[in-house]
Amino acid sequence: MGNLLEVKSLSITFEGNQAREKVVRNVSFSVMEGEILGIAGESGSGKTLTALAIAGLLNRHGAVSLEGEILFQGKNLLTCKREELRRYQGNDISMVFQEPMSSLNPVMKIGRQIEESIKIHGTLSKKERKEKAIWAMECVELENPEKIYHRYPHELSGGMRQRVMIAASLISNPRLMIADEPTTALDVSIQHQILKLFQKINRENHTAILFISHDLSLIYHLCGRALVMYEGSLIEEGNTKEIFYHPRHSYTKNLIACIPTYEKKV
Amino acid sequence: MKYIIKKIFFFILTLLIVVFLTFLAFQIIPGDPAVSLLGTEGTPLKVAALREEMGLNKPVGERFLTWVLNFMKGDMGISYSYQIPVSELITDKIPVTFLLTMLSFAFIICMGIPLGIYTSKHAGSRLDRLIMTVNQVTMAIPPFFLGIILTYLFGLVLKWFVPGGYISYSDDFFGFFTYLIFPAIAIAFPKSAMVVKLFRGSIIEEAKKDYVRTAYSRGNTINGVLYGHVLKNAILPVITFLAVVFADIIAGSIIIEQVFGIPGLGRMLITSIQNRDYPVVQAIIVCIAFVVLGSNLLADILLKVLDPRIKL
Repeated sequence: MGNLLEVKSLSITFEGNQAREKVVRNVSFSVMEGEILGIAGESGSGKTLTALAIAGLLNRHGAVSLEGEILFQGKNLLTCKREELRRYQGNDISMVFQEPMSSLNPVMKIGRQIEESIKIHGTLSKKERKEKAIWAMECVELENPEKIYHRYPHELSGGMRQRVMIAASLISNPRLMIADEPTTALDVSIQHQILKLFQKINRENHTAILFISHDLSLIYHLCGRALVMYEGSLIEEGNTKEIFYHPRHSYTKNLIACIPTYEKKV
Repeated sequence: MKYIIKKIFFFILTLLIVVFLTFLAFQIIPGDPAVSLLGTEGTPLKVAALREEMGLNKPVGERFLTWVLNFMKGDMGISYSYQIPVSELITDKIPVTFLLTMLSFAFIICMGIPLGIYTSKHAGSRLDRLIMTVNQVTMAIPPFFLGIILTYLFGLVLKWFVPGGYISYSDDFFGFFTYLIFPAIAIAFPKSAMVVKLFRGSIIEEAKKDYVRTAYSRGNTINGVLYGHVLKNAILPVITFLAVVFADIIAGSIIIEQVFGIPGLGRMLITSIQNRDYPVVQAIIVCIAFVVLGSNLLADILLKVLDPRIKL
């Protein structure tokens, strides 16, 4: 399988009034077609910024400068025009965010939010879009999709909202789904269901997933390969099991030590 | 539905309280309609007889109840100073003030909303900074002062209209309409400056929220995000403010009618208060309270429609 996404020596710098702060340093990795790649690291390690850079969501702030290359299917997203980049967003690359409450528009019906990306990129009629939205909601195992279609975000529980977010990002059948801490705001039993959902999407739609989490045990369960980031740099890369049992970096060892003990027996 | 019935109930209750308070106010302030009506011929004996005839000797509560009962029958009483029914007196003033108010409100929306969107979109640019500086100054100009400036500039210097040359709407509607444009601008300018500032701030605040990032991640253009997502959220505080502004316009029109010599409800209210012409004052206050409360009711319903999170 070929490389879907290649990140080559990516650096992200915040340009303050006086100080410049490099928050991601020289990061390189690739995501293969159809794989689930995990990025682990504590908050502030630069993993979210890396994800936002790939999704093209950083360059709209003038105070950030990006160096390096982000090649998606061979095309450098960092140098292409805004209009060109936009055609990838929500179409080939979609995102699932951490906070399912604030990441949904509070005054827009669920159905319209799920359909939005295919409305922007596609030519489907209103009826076809609704059918597709219902299909996406069934994919993420939301009950009563017809009913939820007409609901507003505040009427749903946290777990349901995150399913809505996932439905909205899988509806366009993207090649790459970036999930930034998608389960952090949810309780443990729902976390487990959402992880299963990502596995299902990956298996059935052959969508590559970039799964970002501070929780190494989630990455262990979900991802074949993983990266570990620390203070903006990539410190570990490889097979998840290998990282788990033979961590090279002392920070990774600490991360593993943080996992509750029963996990280690697996 | 229950929400609306509840709102309408409070609407009527508030109206009654407003009317009762005006009854009380006239009890407290000095001045007697019988005295002002009789003028120099007012011997104490004549005044006492007239007071009895006008029913002024009855307790406030009783007069209030009689007034309410008559009002519900459509009888607003007879003006003390003109000796004709109040309804006749105010029916041809209502359209004047109504049109002035609507015209001012339309100006506020036509200037405030687009400028709010423009300045928020180009926040920090040179033009934005210029507009916001002018805005800050405009906000501080009282409408009557602006009215005087406009009369001087467009009336006396440029001669676009004749100051004081009010044209009745029954004679020439177009002439009447054009005469109202400058008074409406005088009322609308400071208010629309406030709308610009509020709306701009609200849009900028909303644009920082997480759902905006989600909207971009789906491939929306800047305009797609702004018009499809941000505006509906950002307009909510503006609607509440516009309801307050609407009430304020009516208060403003009382002064502006004086400046431009427009025979509307505001002018009539002032002369009636001076003459202690209670029935006219009551009727006008009910009209104003009705519109003020009505605009608030409308804003509440509109907010409920736009924002599903508002609980009944």
